[in-house]
Amino acid sequence: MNRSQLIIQEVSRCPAVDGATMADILAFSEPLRLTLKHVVRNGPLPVDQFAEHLDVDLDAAHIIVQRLLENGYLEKVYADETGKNAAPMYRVALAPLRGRPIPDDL
Amino acid sequence: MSKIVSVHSFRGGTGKSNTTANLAALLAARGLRVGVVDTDIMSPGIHVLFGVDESEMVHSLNDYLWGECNVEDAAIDVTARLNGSIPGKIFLIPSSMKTGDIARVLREGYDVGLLNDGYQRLIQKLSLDALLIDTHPGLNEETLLSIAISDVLAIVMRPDSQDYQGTAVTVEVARKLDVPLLLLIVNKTPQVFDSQMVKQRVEKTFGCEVAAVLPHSDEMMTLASEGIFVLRYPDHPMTGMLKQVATRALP
Repeated sequence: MNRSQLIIQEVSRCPAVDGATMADILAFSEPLRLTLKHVVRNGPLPVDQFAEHLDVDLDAAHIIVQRLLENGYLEKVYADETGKNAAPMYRVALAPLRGRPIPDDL
Repeated sequence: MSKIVSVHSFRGGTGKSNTTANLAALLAARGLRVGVVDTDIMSPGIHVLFGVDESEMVHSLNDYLWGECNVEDAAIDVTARLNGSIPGKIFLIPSSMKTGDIARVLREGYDVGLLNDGYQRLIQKLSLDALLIDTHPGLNEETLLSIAISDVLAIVMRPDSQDYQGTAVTVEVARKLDVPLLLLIVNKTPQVFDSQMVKQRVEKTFGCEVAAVLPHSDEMMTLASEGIFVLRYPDHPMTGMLKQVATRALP
């Protein structure tokens, strides 16, 4: 299996989440982990830059991004607020930190 | 380009907040604009070092995370209140000390994505040269986030077996997240220890650079977080060591 296929397989098998935790990102293999870390640090990327960071072709990058989007790790954003004129970009959808039962009178 | 520096330790009581505050003062003394975020929401405290009383916190990081203000609204310019002439600026973004606010965070949680966005917004809105993140000890979602986004991760540890074990975990995580610069600071080192030997042992153990071996200091203990050590003792050898750390983190 080549690099693209391995990464596609990995994102196809990763569990669906309601937002990614950093622990989820740590669990990925190196190319995915470092790419997602880059996105967390530097902000959303278009698909072609995902391809560059992952060192895969554009078609593979489209599949990878789509799977991560479907599984809840990424969210789509637009540089242009209206979303009409700009190409979409993708940022890591960080999961909210959940609370725990604490007495209301504390 | 702005740099994000996280100051972390696996265990509490290593001197993280003091290290963060002192590094901030040293960077500001070089004329830099420095932000300091107290992300230790469960046990905040760095505001004490900057002489900020709870009553002065119009907004806190907590308010931002609950969507009640912009993150820069929680920033307090603490430069003028420090004992020393500082050509730069220090902006403190404190966490709330109110029991109810801490309980609310525990009860409701918060949006980690918002915390991440907040860091970038602070850099932009306050024109920061450096953003220092004072973290909660140990590994949790907030500390993993701060490690991931850091240009520099300074791990503070004591020359203690428990700290050695815990630091190993943090170093491994930092390597997996490809932190560009990883520095170890060995703090509260007994005076009977040979600092060169401590440095060599720690560097060999973790394969990382030790930026400083800071001795246990009676002056620091006596100061008791009621001020910034490097400003109170500008000629102290430990101030010189902390200057080296600051220069290493931001050349």
